Amino acid sequence: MSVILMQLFNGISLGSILLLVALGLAITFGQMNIINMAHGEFIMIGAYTTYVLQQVFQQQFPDAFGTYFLLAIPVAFLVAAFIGLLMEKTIVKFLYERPSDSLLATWGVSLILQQTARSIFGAPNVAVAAPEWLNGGLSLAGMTFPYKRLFILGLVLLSVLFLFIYLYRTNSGRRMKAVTMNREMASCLGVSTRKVDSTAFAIGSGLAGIAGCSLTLLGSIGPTLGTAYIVDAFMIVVLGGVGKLKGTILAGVMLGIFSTFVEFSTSATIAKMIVFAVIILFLQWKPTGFAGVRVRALD
Amino acid sequence: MLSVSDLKAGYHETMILQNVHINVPEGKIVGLLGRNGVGKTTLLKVIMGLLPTKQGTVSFKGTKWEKERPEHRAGMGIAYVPQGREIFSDLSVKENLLLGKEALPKSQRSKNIPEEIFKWFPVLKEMIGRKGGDLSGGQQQQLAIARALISNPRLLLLDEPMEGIQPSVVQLIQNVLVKISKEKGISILLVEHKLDVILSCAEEFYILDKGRMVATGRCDEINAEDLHSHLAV
Repeated sequence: MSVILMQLFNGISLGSILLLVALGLAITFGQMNIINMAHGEFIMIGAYTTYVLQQVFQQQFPDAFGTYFLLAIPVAFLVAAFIGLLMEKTIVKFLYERPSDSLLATWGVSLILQQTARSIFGAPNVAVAAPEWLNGGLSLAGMTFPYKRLFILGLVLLSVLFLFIYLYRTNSGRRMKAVTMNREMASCLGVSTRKVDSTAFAIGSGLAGIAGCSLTLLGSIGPTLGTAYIVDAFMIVVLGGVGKLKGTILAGVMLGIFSTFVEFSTSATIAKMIVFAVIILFLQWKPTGFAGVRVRALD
Repeated sequence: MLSVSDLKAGYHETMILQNVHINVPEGKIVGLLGRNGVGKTTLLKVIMGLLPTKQGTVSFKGTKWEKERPEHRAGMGIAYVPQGREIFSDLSVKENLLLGKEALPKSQRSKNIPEEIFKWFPVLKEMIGRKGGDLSGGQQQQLAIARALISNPRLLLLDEPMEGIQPSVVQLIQNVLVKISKEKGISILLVEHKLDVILSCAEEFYILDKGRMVATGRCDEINAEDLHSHLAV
């Protein structure tokens, strides 16, 4: 029983990490139909931002080292959001409704960003030291739940909560949903779709930055950190239903749990194959994903 | 209020509208008639800024428009109710209505829905919390018109608003259109293929055929020959 519970926890943990990566993509891909191949690099930017802050705290404020990670979360969001905004304003905004061009251009940006990171921080991976209070784990019923993973779980819940408050309780969120559903009609009502696009891209990139920040807790980081997660993130967005946030959440958690259980009973490689096969079959059966739109037929 | 002259427009290389002229005076309802596929919707899309003009001009309140985006035109006082309503089906009725306020200056975008909206369309008050997609066709049409009116427009563009809805709702919408035109001085360009609707609420009419304006005049002087040659299928 404890083995199953532990696997369930690992699955939810993996799902929460994938979800954090996919949330930003759900906004940029879901809303703007931009296949942002550089999304993984915003994860990397968030991770290196955390690394830099850690260095600064180690050297300048060693007494306050325990708090650096809490500061790193909003800073990683802001840095990634700012670079995302810059990318949207200078490249992406000229490529809307040109999916293959945008795919190639953002892939080019991803290579540039990776190389830039390599030039600044070097090719080898670097380790980010977690604050002391995140080491160890919570012992419960003979099982140990690592604090780092519990913290990431909490961070994901908080990110989802903030995103929902933004989308469902603010005017800006309402505009974003309207543009996602019907860009042309939203603009006819006076919504500045260009502003909404920039905001959405910045928020999506910022969320990837938070994902990168949290990934520093699980291992060393390098210039290609994001590429390991990007395929799974796209899979979650498609599986959940493009543009459907609730579907993305469900898909993220389900994919995490399913992958963990299959991997536990087989091996990592076979598990990946099985997961891909199941997703392909599922999408054959339900191409719109978990959250396909159901609208009362007109008349 | 709105003046379109010598307009040529279409989709990519295909020209749909040829040398189109139309005037919508302040506070009047102007009907635009024509068979399916003659370019009525294209004309509204050009006026709204959803399609570019290839030649000619679109002027609103004396200002010539060229490449202004739809959101800019909405801010200037044009509201558009497209064919098929295009309400946001996943958003509530209230959220749909609040989106109509986006064309207003920020200071006027309160979270309250003006009571007159519910006076015109009482069913929306009952449905305020429901999702737009859950409404019937007639209710969705009322929502689409209410969403347009909430922005206090000076010109309302309506694309076949009576299409596929029950007679009682058609009557309600007609009454509202006549009322807002008279009481608020809103100009209305009403695209419709049902002649009786145009005759019952519009003062002037235009007939579009194969992308050209082929007849115009006052509705009380409408010519049976024009109707027969350009509208009969």
